[in-house]
Amino acid sequence: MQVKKPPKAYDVIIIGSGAAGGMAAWNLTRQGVKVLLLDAGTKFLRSDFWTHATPWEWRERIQRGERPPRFYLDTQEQPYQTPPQQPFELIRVWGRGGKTNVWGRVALRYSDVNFTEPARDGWEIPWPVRYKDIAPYYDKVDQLIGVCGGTDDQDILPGSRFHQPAPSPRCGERLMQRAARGIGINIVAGRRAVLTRKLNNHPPCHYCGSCGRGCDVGAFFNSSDYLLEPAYRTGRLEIIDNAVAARILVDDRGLASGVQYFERQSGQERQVLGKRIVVAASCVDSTRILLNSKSERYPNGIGNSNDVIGRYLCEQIRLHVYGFVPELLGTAALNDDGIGGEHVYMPRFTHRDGRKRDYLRGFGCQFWGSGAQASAEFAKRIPGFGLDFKRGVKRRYPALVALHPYGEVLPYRDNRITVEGTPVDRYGVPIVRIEYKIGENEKRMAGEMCDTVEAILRAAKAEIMPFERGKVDNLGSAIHEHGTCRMGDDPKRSALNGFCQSHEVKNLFVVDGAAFPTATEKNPTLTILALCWRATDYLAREMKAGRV
Amino acid sequence: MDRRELLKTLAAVPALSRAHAQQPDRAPLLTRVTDLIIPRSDTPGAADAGVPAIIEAIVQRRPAAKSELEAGLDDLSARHFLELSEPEQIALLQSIETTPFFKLIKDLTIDAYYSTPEGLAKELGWHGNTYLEEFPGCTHKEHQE
Repeated sequence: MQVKKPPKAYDVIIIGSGAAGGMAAWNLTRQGVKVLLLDAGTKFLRSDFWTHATPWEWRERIQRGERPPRFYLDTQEQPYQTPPQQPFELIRVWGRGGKTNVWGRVALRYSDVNFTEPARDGWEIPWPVRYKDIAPYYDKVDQLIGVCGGTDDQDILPGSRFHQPAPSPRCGERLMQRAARGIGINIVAGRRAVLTRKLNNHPPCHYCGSCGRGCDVGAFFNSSDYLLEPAYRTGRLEIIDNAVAARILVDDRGLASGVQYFERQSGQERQVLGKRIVVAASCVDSTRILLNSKSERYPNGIGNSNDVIGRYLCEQIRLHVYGFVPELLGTAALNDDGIGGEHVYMPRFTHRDGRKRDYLRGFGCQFWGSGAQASAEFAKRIPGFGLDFKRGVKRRYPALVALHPYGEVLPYRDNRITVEGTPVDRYGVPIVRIEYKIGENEKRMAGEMCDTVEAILRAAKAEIMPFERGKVDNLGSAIHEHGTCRMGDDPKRSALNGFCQSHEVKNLFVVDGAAFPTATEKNPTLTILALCWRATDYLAREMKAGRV
Repeated sequence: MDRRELLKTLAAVPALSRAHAQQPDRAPLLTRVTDLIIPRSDTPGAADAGVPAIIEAIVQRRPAAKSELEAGLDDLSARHFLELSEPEQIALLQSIETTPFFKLIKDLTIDAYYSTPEGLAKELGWHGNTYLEEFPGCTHKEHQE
């Protein structure tokens, strides 16, 4: 192993450049802290994106031998293991901005219903923070990244005074809202990290609906444009690209002292020294680094004397149900692109309707893909062929409505990632094995998720496309991994405190989804940003006080 | 007559015709079947939209689908599909509607057709992925409260 001694020890090293890594870099540099950020890839250039290619233009480009930018990490390059019969889809983006380049932009606040629920239902540990601790940070995040939404405010989904105007719902979404209201279910404006008004030097959305390919004008929050660029302009941010972080180095006091990484292409091993390490490599990758950081003092990985790290991986169950609303059948297709994805959201209601349930926690519902889409995927499930079939497809096309409930998976101790006995990757670093399955709790919840969306569709008198009741999407495909390095008040049952600081290693912070003790029913990114902002404020204070 | 029987029969046929039969021209079959799935109406059909060529390009990257598709087309060829009348062709396709081959060719036809300007824009009326200053959303009073 060749060790190149770097010339200095950085004040802070950040691993990862997604929502969490970008927020850490932005918040620390603006407070005068000099930071080195290691990113596993390189910058994705907006000028390379194929955002506005029509399906036929896309095909023509491919035929000419051109290729769109590659966001998603190839599992050939970095495999992972799962036990037989327990598949898990791990989706990773290695490059500046990480998954925020192509994320779903759903920006929902957690609430005290979520933070205190484990204390009320007794399953595992509660969060060590409450809404009042995070609320000021949610406010700041809303203003920093630009979140559009409504003026609604309720226990499960606290309101915000800082929303940009919400985009008008599509016809199908309005009809879902009306139908749901008729059966006592509230559907509110969606909250999305997409600009409907200019924000600083970021232009507002122009409603092309192609966000999933990367936005070539940067009209939705992504870490690269919104956090790393301003951080870089402070002159206090150094970025090393193509740096695949492997292990955190430990000194003889048991503190983190640096990072071992490998140059992505050449495989050259390097080490950088740092006085504080902030891990933000995305839930599974962050914990993999910690588990691989073994030493005499930390035989199970740095900061893992209590065997918490790697455990309590929780994701969300999700399913899709589609229908066709009668009011829109046979009408002329509209441009339903909007801000790409839903303009409405159904908050969880299961905690307050007074009904007893045979499962814990709950689900919310999203509405992705209502109205005219850039494909006719649903046609594959319309029987028949010929003129009648063709006419039937056209008649239904503008009337499509789509409902996707997301349900909270409980944190189970044995749902975990581990590096014990796994093969090594191309750099000689053990890969992860992901051991994850859902339990009876989630299966029962999935039943009610189906019943709820079916009830809404029936109330709308929609033609419901047949679906298998209780069947959920591939585990992992929601791309909302939480846990494996959870925060908590009790150092025996958690790895981090409420400031994402390791209980055992006080100069080590883990600021991404790995820190979450529960999954909740909502998308995590907004909360990752808020928690990381709060954690790095704390880190900056501790640094000034000389305590870290 | 299934494929194995066909090949056994062809083994008795002179070399030239046999070579020709072993490399059946699937293109006209593919064109006919896809055009029966999505025919021309007041808007272009699958053949008009260039669907056969698109399907051929798609299956180049999917070897399993390519084999399945070719096997199914060869089976239709063995049944002299192109020589049947249109009602007979439709009846034959209806008789195999639940087979994996038909599901595959129907899915491919759908993917291909509704990714063309003829299918997506002209037939369905899609006019998205464009630049709007404001998004009007639903403007129908009758869809609200």
